[in-house]
Amino acid sequence: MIELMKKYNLPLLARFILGAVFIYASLDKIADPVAFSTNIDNYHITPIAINNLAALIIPWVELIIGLSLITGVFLDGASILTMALLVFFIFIISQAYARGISLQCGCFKTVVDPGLGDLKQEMLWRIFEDFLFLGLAIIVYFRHAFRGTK
Amino acid sequence: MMDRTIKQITFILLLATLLGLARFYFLKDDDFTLIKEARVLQETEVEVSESGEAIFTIPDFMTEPMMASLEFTKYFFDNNRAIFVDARESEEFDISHIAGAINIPFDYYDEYMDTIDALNYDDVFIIYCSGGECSLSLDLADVFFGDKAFENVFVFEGGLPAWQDAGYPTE
Repeated sequence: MIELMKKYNLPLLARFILGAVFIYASLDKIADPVAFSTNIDNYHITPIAINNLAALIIPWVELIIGLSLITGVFLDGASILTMALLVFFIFIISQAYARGISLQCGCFKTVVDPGLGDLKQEMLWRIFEDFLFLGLAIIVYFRHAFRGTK
Repeated sequence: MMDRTIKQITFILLLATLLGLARFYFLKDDDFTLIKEARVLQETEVEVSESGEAIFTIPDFMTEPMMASLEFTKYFFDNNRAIFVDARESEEFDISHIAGAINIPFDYYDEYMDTIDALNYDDVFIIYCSGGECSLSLDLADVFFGDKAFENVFVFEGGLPAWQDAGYPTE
């Protein structure tokens, strides 16, 4: 498996996939922090007072780490922040799911698409997706091991 | 190595904060403040009759949805003067809801436009969901009051749990 990863330069592939995902995820939120703040409210996990600040800052963190992952600048810092964000996203969606809160996660789009389908199914899919991305972020952070260099 | 990583993380977070604040500066939305204030709905006034009974009245002119207490909600339920709207998902509605309530899940309210349009705009609507942290009722109330221009829209913040705890009728 490791040999396969080395052969296809999996860390580089992981960087580009994660970078593109994070940049794409940030754009709608940067454009509409008001709607994103409402998305954060719906999780009922953070104090209302900080939700606007979070809605202003988190999308920029996503954009910067997306750019860092693609360009390779500040790669260690960006990959640790990516892992931290993904663990946080997995936690907040899981706790909302466990508490029976159905919500539009605000992961990529801030506004609900009418007729989107079962929100709970979508939450489960997002958790699964975030675990996949977390795996990619771990590969990026430990990229030297996959390249066989220190 | 670790020092360098911590510096990178700090730099990214600081840069994101600066850009976030710059975005706030260019947002030009007076309602969007850096420190968000929780929305508090006004409660209706209660009058007490000579016999000591509480009488709940509706203001002539409302500027936004108002809060309905458990007593207010029960009063309108007993007097059959309000339409109860359950803003939760239909699966939750099917399990239990306030007797006589109709179901308009906020998450899919676009699909219920025919139902909403068939309602009388001057009826009294009491909208509820799961109480506590649930904001579906307030969100749907904003649709009723803001988008559809219904005149008398109330949010029963205690929701179904408060109603059930009081032992009031469900079905």
